[in-house]
Amino acid sequence: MERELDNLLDELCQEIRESGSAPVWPDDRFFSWADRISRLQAHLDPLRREPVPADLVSLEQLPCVTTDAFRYARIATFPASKAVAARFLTSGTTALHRGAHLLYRTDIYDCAALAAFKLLVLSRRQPARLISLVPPHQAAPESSLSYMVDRFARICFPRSTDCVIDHDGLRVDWLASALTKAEKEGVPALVFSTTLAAQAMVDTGMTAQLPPGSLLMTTGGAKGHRGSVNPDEVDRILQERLGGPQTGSEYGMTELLSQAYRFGGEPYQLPPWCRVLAFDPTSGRPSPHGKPGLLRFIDLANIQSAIAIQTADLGNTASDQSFFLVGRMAGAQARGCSLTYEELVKQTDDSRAP
Amino acid sequence: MTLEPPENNPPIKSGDRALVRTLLEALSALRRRIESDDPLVLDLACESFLHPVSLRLSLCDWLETIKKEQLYSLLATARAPRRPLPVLTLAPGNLPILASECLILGLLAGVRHTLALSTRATGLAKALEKELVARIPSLSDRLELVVWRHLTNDQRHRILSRSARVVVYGTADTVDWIARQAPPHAVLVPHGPGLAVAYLDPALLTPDELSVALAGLARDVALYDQRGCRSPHILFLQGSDQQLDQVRDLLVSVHLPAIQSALPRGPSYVEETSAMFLDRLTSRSLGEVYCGDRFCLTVERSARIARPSPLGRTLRLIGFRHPSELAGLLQSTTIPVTLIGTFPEAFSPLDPGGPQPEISLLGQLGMPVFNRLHDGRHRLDEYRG
Repeated sequence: MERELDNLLDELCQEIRESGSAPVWPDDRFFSWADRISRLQAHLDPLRREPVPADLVSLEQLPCVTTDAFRYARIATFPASKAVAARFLTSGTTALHRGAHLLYRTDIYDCAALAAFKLLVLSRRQPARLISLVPPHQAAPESSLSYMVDRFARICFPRSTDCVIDHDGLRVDWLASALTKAEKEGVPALVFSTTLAAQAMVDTGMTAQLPPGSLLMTTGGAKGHRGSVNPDEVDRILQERLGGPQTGSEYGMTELLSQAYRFGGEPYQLPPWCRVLAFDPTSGRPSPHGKPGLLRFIDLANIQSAIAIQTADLGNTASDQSFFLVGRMAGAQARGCSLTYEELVKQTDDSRAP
Repeated sequence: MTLEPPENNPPIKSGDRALVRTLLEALSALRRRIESDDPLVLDLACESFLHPVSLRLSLCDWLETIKKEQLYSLLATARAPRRPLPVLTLAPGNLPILASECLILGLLAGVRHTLALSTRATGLAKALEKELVARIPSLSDRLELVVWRHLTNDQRHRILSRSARVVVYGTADTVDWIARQAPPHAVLVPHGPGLAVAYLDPALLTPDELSVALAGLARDVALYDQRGCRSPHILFLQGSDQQLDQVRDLLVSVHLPAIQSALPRGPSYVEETSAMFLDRLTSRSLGEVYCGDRFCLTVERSARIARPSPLGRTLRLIGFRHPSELAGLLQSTTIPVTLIGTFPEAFSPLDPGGPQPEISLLGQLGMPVFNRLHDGRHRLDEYRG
């Protein structure tokens, strides 16, 4: 079985690499892959208690794992005795409650992340320089985002990357120097940043004239910093201050090895080996396209963990596998003595004295 | 029932007697409204999402437990003299009675009180305020009820800046936010959420005792729908898989369904529905899930972390063999734990030097008042400074 897992990984890596020339996967091709992988996962992961239906006819039937499950259990299709090549941790308030995505082979992540980046970003913009506001991989070895941006830098921008962040956060002098360099070179730049680092950049008050064709790509919410950062507002300010680069967003998470991207206010686009469904939490059934539901991703690259990942993100899906993010479902009201933070900081639209 | 305070307490001042009498009269009037066809209970049910039948029962139970002796005792335990200190309380939104308890404490403390309510729990405190003001007209000069969410930022800032003490009930996010907004001179008194967990060793109980214990547990789960700190989220069961199966079967087929008719569950709000949907999927990865009519039991035989339930009468049944496993599970959560057991004196699995959970009796969620539903640190001293 383990050999079969290796073979499947080799085969899928190959197909993903070839997606550049055939960026659309027909339904039956995707379905056949999902069927094969999920059956193998059911055999290899003792935690997968829900069997794959013998007559699997739709992606909704695939047994799924929630993002939360990564915090409480080892979600992996390879034995614990096997050496781990990467251990990516989710964000969390305590180490005890951080989820772990374990990989014994990182080549699938390398090829899925790179292929999605080329297909959904570099096919539309061709930046020649990367300014990274994501902590470097050496500083954050357990961050899947840092790992991914590090790969982008090495492979797509080998001699033209400036990482302007270190253990202590944003280095303003490095940022100033990187922006000046980009201005002088006159070639389009890609500024890739977490939302929080982008906010830190806003706080510096720095301005620049990035060359035409430049792109500002932000990712991630502001977990743990709710109420202080508005991603759209940060994008707007930076677009204004950096000479009007195109803005974009990356949607990814530790529990998924594939990412979605969007430009401006467009919907997020997924690579062809990843699909999205939305579920109505009340009925537990799939939401029709256009109606908000909790997003569930079928990411074939997740062979080593679980391909069907249920998130707490609310979104609208469309028939072309694109989606809009509506927000994140707040947890149920905390038990005992709790005035929720959201209620505390928000005001009713008709703010008025009682 | 004794009508006077215990002998070791200081003598009661005549002002205190009058205050306690008036307070009890106001509470009696409130009780008459709750027991009648007055629309108050329906209004409270609408804003809190609790079922009116369960709400009426739990409110009557709460009012029943407020006695003269207890109010005198509260007055006696507060060492500082009564003075009109300006106090802001940000009341919790999980249960209607908590804001009313905050109101009563402020009244007993004699402070100038601004009680900021959550949108989910306004009606009861407002009704109590009305009864009190009808009896003490001057009270309106030193008691102000506001709904925090309805205030503008300027109004919030004004209230915060004039407060000498800020009592806040909430999560770490809530407390942090208030700490940042409060003026430097204000003393912040935070109260965090709590997590109640039950503990049972079936080997120590006869079948009848086990049945009584599980019926009590089901009642505790249903009363206030797990939104109070004494309403259990988890049952830790010491014993074999066979014993766990037996308790699971009793809960799923007898006790959890039975409680639905006595204490029906209210509607779920959208966050609760989503949390339950996600939790059931997560629980399937970690163990077994048994859902019935408006309840759910999740079963884990080898849990590492004590996960709070997503509400909606979701009870977790977690098995363990050795007390040291339970100690590890109790330490796996950052939320202060209240342990509910059949006979807590038999329970001593924790490191005596470490933080000890508060212990209560299973099936007796209703007692005692003023600390049964929250973290137990809710004291009159906090209002007096």
